[in-house]
Amino acid sequence: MKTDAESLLKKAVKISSLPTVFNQINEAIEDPECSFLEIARLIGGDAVLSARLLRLANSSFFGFPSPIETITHAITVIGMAPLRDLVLATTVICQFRGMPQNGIDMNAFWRHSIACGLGARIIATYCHEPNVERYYVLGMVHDLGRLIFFMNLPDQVSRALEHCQARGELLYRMEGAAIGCGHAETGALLLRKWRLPERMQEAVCHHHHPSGARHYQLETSILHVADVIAHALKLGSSGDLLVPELDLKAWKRIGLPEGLLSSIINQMDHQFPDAIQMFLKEG
Amino acid sequence: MEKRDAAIDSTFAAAHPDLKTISWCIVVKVKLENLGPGEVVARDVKDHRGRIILDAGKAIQKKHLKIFKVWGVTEVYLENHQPKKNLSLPDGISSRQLEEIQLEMQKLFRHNPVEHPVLKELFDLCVKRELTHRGGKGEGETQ
Repeated sequence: MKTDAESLLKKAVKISSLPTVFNQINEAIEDPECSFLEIARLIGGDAVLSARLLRLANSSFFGFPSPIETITHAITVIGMAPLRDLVLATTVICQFRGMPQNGIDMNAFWRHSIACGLGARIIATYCHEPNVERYYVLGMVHDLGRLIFFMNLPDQVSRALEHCQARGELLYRMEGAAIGCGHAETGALLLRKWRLPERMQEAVCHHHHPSGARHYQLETSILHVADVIAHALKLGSSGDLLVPELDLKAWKRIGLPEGLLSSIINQMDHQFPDAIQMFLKEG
Repeated sequence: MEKRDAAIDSTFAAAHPDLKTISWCIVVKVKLENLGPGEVVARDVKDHRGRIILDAGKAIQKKHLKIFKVWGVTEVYLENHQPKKNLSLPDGISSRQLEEIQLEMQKLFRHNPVEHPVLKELFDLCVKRELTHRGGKGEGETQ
């Protein structure tokens, strides 16, 4: 039976909206009259979230010379917009916690997402992009469509996956035929339901075909390249076990020399264990 | 390993008036990790903003290697550079294992044209990384 992304998401009621705390924080950050203290109070209201953010602020992600002990201090040194993205990255994982696993290894899934996020963040830094944390979030959410497939259509996806693995094919290329819609567009639709910015929706929607992006080509290309690298390094998996096809135009658009790949990979390998600790450790 | 592009390089010729009898020379792009002190750069070495870090015709000193790294220079152009031997095998890895790893990587990259420079680079780096990982794990084991 073929299905479309819209009706798939209707079934996934539990994840159809983000937790209120994220929306409150988001609104507060958008509000020019809202003070640091009020935002800190909002974050502080969620003990798990504040503990995670403080752990993040004190990690090698930022490498600040002295310890950061309060949320207000964290906001001051990290900045509002990056902090919001980090809140989102932590929230997304919590959102899917306790979901039926249905043949997907959740740990491997998040490891792939984190690796992709790290890659995108590092590439964005080399591209001198402002607020690189938003690239990290892009990596975290780029394959959420797959999770929705595994949650709602476990048998269909598992069959398609077996078929691909036996023939050395790529799953994303045959999702249309096997399921009726692609994981990229399903993920993008979920982000729209979550009322996340259009640039995130577009990057996720086109992360396998970055040339299809109309407005946010650089974001989409960076996410695409990071996804390819994460697959090549075999850091986790979201279903596909082979390296997806690299769009050479996307690599050209990013404008980095090939020689930089080794630094990108070294940094990914270096930051990966820390990021896993911070984002996947319970509590 | 390096992308070779033969070019008539006027910058290098200008910096070496004594070489005027030679009308052209082969200029090769070399990655930072394959550079050693004493080699002469054929073109100006610039950072990403175009600021010159080392003039064409100057020899690379040890300190320059560090400076290049700090300023994000990943490759420079050298004249008639002899590339180093291919990957050196880490301890505990046999050439058979290297072949196995290369074969695994070829399967992993089967949907990508690995002859393209950027994919070739990614492929080689993945092989090298896998070699180091297995070499590290295999420590203490006898071959």
